[in-house]
Amino acid sequence: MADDFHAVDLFRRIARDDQLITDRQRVSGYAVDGILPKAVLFPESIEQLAGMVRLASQENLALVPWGSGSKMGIGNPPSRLDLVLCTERLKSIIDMDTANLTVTVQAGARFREVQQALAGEENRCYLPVGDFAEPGGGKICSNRAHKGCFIPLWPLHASTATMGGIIAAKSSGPMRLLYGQPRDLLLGVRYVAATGEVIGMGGKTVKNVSGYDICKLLVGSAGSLGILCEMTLRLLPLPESRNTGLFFFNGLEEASDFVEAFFRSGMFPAAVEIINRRAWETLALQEAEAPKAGKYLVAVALEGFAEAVDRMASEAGRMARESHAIHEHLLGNEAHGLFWDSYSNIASYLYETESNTASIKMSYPISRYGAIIRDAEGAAEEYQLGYAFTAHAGSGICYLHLFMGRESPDTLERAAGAIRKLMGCCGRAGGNVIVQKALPKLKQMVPVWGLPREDLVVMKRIKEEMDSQGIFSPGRFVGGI
Amino acid sequence: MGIEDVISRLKEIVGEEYVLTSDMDMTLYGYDASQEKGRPDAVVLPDSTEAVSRVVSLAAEKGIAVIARGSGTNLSGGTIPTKGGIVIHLSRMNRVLEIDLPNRTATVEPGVITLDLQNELLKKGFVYVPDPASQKVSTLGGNVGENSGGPHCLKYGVTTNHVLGAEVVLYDGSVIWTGGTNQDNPGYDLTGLIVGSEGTLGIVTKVILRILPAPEAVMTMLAIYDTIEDASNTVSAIIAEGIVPATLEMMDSVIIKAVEESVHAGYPLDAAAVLIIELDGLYDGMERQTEKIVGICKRHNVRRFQVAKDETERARLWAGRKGAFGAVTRLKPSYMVCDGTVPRTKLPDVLNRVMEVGGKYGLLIGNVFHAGDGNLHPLILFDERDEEELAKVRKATSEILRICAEAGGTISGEHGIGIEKLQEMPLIFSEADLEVMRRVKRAFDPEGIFNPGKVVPGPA
Repeated sequence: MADDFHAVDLFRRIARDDQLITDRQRVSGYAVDGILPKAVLFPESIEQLAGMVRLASQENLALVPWGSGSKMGIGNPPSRLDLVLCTERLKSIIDMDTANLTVTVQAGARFREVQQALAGEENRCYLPVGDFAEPGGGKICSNRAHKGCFIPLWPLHASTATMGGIIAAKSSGPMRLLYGQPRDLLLGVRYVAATGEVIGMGGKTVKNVSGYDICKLLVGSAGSLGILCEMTLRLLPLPESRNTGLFFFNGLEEASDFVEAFFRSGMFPAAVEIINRRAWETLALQEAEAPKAGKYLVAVALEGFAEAVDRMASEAGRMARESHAIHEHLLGNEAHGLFWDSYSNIASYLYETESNTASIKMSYPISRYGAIIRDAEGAAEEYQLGYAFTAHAGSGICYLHLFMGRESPDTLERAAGAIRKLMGCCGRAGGNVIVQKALPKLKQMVPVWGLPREDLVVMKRIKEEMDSQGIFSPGRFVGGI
Repeated sequence: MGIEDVISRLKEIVGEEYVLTSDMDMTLYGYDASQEKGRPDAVVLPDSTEAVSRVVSLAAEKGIAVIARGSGTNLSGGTIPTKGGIVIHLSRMNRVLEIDLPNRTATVEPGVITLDLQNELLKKGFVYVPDPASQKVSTLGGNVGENSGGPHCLKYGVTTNHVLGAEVVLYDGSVIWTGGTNQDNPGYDLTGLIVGSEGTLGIVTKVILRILPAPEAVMTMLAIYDTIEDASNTVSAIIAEGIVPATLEMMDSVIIKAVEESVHAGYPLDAAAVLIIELDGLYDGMERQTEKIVGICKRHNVRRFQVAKDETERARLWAGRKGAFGAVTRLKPSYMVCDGTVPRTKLPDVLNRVMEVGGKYGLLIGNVFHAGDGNLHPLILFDERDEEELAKVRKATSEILRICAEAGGTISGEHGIGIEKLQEMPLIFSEADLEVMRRVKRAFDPEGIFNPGKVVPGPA
């Protein structure tokens, strides 16, 4: 494969030695579904990244972008792979405009670090208003009781995920119930297209109908249309008050009754999650927080004005007792953040302790939170697989983690059987199943993007227009795009 | 096959009475709420997806342009048949197909009037949030095509944030669904691309909308100021205090006078600016937040502050804002509205520069805008019969859009590009950016039959 070595060597002209790794051992840390790239590139500027894409395009090399690697399990194995382009050195926070409630970051910036920086940023309004200037010449124009902003998301793998990865994988979390999803938060983007050009779309305004909404196209495009470099997201001021109610139940029916009652009451919770014992065991809850018995936990996040949060907490407690909760605990403001932080890492915790976990995301119409969980449990039990699940009760989404244990034809067949079965269940309910992580062999046994839909025909034409050569993550996306 | 044959085929598809070809009809369908004009070859009023699909197939076969439209309240020439062709008027497809409260969705045909759906939902205790000022007349299909905004978008987002899926007729007459009732569908977010595409990518024949429980409490406030700076600074200060109201709307003195004379909303004639602030949510904490807002307004020299005591008073406070566009025609017969949008913090500066543009050309400009999200609406008032004045208006508009672009904003926040702002697209997009949009257009509409000549300018 002398040609390949030649092609990779071309990159030495535009990358320093420490920006291009080719030795097999280090490259093996960047395998995509078990396939090793020939080299891993670490661009340090958008211009340099664009140059790399131009070169890849000239040499027809296939390229897969990589942030922190937390969601690389999503997608088909690449149909070909030459380069992994790692964004970890593009990690600047370019602009924290808290008065305008926007933040602009580079793709490799870690979600957690951006969120920390925002929380500490004073929420000043920068208007040159003489009357309110402080004696020292400051520009504060209000007596704030308030401080800090946040990106209203708690995405999966929040402690490692990069901003680019979150957008590319449209990774959401429990708070999507109140605050929406990445598609609702992304206002502007700069990315490198297959031509090697840097493309800018959207901007810093919440309202923007100038031309097509290319931001929407890129959210969830999983590296198949371009390499995200810079993103502008909408922020919110930190809520005045936060609390979380933990309500434990013996049966799924009681848990669902409670959720149903709470939704019907006209409350505006930030998140309502139903999870099973195996999932909450990863959270290391204190003795007072979790009971020894109980099969299901409904965790309710409440954010907003203090009075509203207090009322929602007390109503949730009353309704949970009416639905025969066996234990309840209110976490309070401080523990709220810690709880949801570790909650977002449940999958990562499971991957540390269980070998060969297959994770899927199931979707149903949102009212059917009971059915989706019943089906998930039923399939796991029928195929004799250990499991944990976390379900967004108000969004119709359930993440199911199936523990395969040792890889063998039998375990692979059982995991595939459970996934196929759930694909049927979700399909009948009008939903779908998307595989989040699975062994490459298992991926060959099930359609990892779920059942094909009729809009695939347009998606294929978009890919053809945007990347006719097929250099961006070839074969990994829906329908082999 | 000439246009006569096409017309007779159209009559076979939708029935004779639903194909319009008279001279008067062609004139009527030749304009919208902007200053632009055109003329179609025929207008059809289909009443089913199948009929739309057959009309599109026919047009594709003959290479004729197809322009979908609703009530024509759009403000940028988006529905004007500049190259002739067939206008598909979707007003007969006006059924609310399903309101599914447990799943919080409403599935509607595109011809449903926005306010009709909202009224129906409100009876059930639910809301569909996006509320463009034209909601009494505008259709939901039109809102989807334009990605309409409205006062309540500050807190809740614009139309695209409330559309879950759509049935779309493609260029070859085939019909697909994008998105759906369930969330997180695999693949590209085609729904997100179609919303705001101004009918250039396909024709939406059904839409699944997200609905929300109506807020338990709404608090509407009116604050009156002697300077526009004080009002602008109040807007930023409220947000800096960590409050994101449902709306923050502002009107300047020109608009206040026009509105007061027509609607009698109770605004003082000598005020420099009026601010409408609305909070919504649970009752709990609402009083305290209102107090906080009163305090902020006072610190910014508010002259008068009023809280609506009941629904009648609330409606009265809003009447002025909703009637603003109509009211200005008392001053001059025509208006040109720009809808450039800038980062909120740039508002006072940009407003000053807009007024300078007015002074430079000797044009009267009134400002009525969504202050909370930086969406300006300078209304340039003029008489379209005065050609010299019209030329000045076009120059002033272009300058205002340039000012918005330079301030880090964009040339359209909610009205769309249509044909009116095509020339200004290079202010915010490079040729490479525009080429990406052309690629999207080609992917959906390789023959270029859907609403040609709109949204994306041709190659430089």
